[in-house]
Amino acid sequence: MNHFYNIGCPKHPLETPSVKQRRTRNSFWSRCLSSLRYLFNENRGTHPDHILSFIIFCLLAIGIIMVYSASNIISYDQYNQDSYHFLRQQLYACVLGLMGMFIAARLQYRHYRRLSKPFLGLALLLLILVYTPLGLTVRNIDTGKEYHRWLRIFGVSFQPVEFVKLALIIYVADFLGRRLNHIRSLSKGILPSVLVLGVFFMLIYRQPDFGSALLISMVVLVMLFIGGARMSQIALVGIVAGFFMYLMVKNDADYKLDRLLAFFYSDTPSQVDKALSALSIGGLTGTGFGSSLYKLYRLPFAHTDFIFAVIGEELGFVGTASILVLYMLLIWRSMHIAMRAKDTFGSSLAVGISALFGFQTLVNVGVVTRMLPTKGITLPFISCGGSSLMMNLILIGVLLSVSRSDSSPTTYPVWKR
Amino acid sequence: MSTKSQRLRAILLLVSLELGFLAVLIHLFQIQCLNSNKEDQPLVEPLWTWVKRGNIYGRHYYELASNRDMLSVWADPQQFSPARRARAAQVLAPLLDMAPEEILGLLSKDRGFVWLKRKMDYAQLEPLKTALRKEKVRGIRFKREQKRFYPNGDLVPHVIGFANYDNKGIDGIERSYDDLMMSYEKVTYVHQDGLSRPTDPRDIKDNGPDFSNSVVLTIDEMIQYAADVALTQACEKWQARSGSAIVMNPKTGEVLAMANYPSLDLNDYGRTQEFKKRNRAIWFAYEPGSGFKAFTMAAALSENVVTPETLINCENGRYNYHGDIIRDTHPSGVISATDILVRSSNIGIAKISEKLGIQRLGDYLQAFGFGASTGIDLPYERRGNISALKRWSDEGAGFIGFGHGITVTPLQMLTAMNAIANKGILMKPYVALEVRDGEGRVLQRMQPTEVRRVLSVNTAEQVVRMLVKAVQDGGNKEAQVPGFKVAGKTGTAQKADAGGYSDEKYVSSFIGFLPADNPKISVIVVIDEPQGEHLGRKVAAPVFQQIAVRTIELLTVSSQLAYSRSGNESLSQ
Repeated sequence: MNHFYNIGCPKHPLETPSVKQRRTRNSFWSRCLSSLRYLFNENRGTHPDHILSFIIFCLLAIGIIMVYSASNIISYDQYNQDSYHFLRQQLYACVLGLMGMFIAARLQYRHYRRLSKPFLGLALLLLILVYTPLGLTVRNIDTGKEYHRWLRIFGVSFQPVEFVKLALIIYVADFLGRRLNHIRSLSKGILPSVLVLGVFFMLIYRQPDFGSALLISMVVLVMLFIGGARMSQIALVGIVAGFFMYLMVKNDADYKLDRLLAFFYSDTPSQVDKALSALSIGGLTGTGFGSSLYKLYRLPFAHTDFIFAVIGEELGFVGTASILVLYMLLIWRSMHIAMRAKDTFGSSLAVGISALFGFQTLVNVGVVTRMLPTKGITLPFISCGGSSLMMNLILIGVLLSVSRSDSSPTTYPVWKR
Repeated sequence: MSTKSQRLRAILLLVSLELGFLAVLIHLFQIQCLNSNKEDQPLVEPLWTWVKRGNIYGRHYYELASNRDMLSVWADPQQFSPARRARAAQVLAPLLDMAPEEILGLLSKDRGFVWLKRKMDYAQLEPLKTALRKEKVRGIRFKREQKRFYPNGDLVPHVIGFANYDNKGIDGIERSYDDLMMSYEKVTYVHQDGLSRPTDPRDIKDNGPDFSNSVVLTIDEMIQYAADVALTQACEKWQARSGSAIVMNPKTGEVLAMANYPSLDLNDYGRTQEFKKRNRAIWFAYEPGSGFKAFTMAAALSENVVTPETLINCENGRYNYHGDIIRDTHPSGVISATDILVRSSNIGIAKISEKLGIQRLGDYLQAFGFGASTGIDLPYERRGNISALKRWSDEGAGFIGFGHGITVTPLQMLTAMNAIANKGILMKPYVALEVRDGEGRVLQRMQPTEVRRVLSVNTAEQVVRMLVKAVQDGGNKEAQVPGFKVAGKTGTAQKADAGGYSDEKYVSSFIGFLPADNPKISVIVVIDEPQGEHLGRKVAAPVFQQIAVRTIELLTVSSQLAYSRSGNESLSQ
């Protein structure tokens, strides 16, 4: 355990500790203290990407305000007339997430390599724990279907799938960094990581959370693609995965096939049509903050999955377009970081994270605007959801850490080059 | 990025993601700017709500039947795992006052909906919610239901009747006006949220009534109470099996009071024995006895068989009538027809009936409404049995003449007596004064209905004079009301038993009206099987007096307080 507290804490060059000093330095509290001192040392290394931080703060601000607007009625009804329940939850998650982001950004990203295997094991453990009494089983009232998506430990509930995203991105990035020379071969290159992905896909699919499983596999495949894997091999993986998915969908017809068919052939007004109506009412400037009518139990998950529709109704095209532009800037900025990173591990991390945010946002907005069938994917930084927000902020911290390169003078900050 | 191809692929990803966002942006522009439809707002949507069952009011707008919000608890058993089921059963058992096993059994059913308990006190809602929240039991749902509630449930229970668990009228006014009072679903168009809850307070102004049509009874609450008390006291004093008292307005046929003994509280309807639920005033068929002589006499006078002065030999109290011995309580010699009523001579009336003949007697009795439904707006009315009129010969008419061999109901008797009081015109009795809609507007006001003219005015007045004399000079001092001329007749009938007439079982009755010249009220008191004393004079007449005195007092007071809200001038002095 000792090395854990020393992550990224270099020894001071001027210090030549005596035996006694070394003993005190190695004590628990002094290690914590030195870690903190390291985190707040302003004069060390280069700066993180401030544009990215600015984008994230904008998104967070919009998100918190809109979560309150979309959730206060539901919260009032469900939580004993407490309008602020979801807002408070979101604020707690935001504060914790920002702390996590700060710490993650302060660490040098090369140290994440050491965490790749432990994190992967922890993610696997969490996914399995979901089925133990620690897991929170949610049951759909209409269909009677059980969802094992949540863990509840010490009164705090969170979704393991959010941690899986982080763990898998770090693992694949580490994998690519190590296997760079073998990436073009099937068995030594992409196969191990594809197998790991397959295990996680199956576990998440079993929860069931088809949307997240699909999202994660897309992210990993994109990482492999940019890492240099052959197109033919990725295509092969895609075909095999597609075949298995077809088998699963066939077995689980009532769940997904119906939803797909309903998406393409349904005439009855579904929840998605209500989202469209909400957007349509919003018009250019919206009906005004807080005056959404569709958030009153017309939209399902108005404060989580369909918050974009509420934003569209209340703030209009001005609001939705600004949010989309912020996301476009976020993707541009993170890809920029990926391309400037000094090693494959760093660039793969950044690629994975930007692909994750890009796909997640696109899927969510696509569902709301009826371009895609319903998936149950949240809008990063805006949707209500503690674990999602915290993990997203930590991912941004990792991205910032990549942007803030090592002490090597030739890399960052970009605007000085 | 180490290689050029990686860089290219990264740029490819960046560009495709940005293009994706651009596509969404354009799509959004189309939805929100080009095809924006502000009219698509869910402005008003139909909201289906239940209109509550109408109330029943007394004449003075006392609520006699109303609705109460009740709390019903239900759950979806499919949402419960076995552990949660057991937990919920443990927590709910004391709150719902049920056994845990019972709740567990309900929650284990393979259904999507199960009532745990229906129609509890609504005040239980908050304690239940608090306990469930504290114990973290989820999936228990609540529903508001209506339960019929009778604020004065022991006042006129038999007239009001009863509405059952499904708010369906099964007896009394509840049954006969069920269609009018029934709760129904109405649709209103209001702003509402996705759970069908109204959101805009401005919508609530004009959404139609919350209540269905109400029925206002002709029953006067005060008179009813007086009649109830008097009858109950007498029945308890004489340990009678049952009893009825009716007070009516003879000129209109309005029923002002209809009391029965034994009575019940409607709020305990389910736990009441069946015989208490009978409305004996319209259901109890009995042989009327001497009270019936008035109608026989009226028929004879009308057919000019006798005049009030005609002298008839009453055989000193013992007469062999075609082989049967008829006796009189007060033996008399040769007396006038008037005195036959005054002294209540069976022999005299038997002779008159025989002279009249069964055919003519039967015609008059049918004209008075015997053997047929009176047409009152209450269900389960009995017709009585006058089949003897068809089967018996002219000799039998003698028995029918003093009220034997046929059965009648108290209401039939009083309705017929009203015809005498009302100058010979038979009025249809009724208990519903008016029907009002949920906002209090009068929908329908019942009008007094003339059925037919039974007697000429002259004959009716002759009978009234005889009846007045019967009260004044006969042994009916118990029925006199100070300051008023009372017309009336006692009745004491032996009850038919197996193979003949019983010596122990009697029906004592008194029927009368006042003031005799311009009648305001008519009253009948029928007491079945009084113990110790059986003469109508002793048993029923005091009850008549008590009710009549109180009613006259109340009407006098009420008339000063503009009693005739319903437009019944005849009731105001």
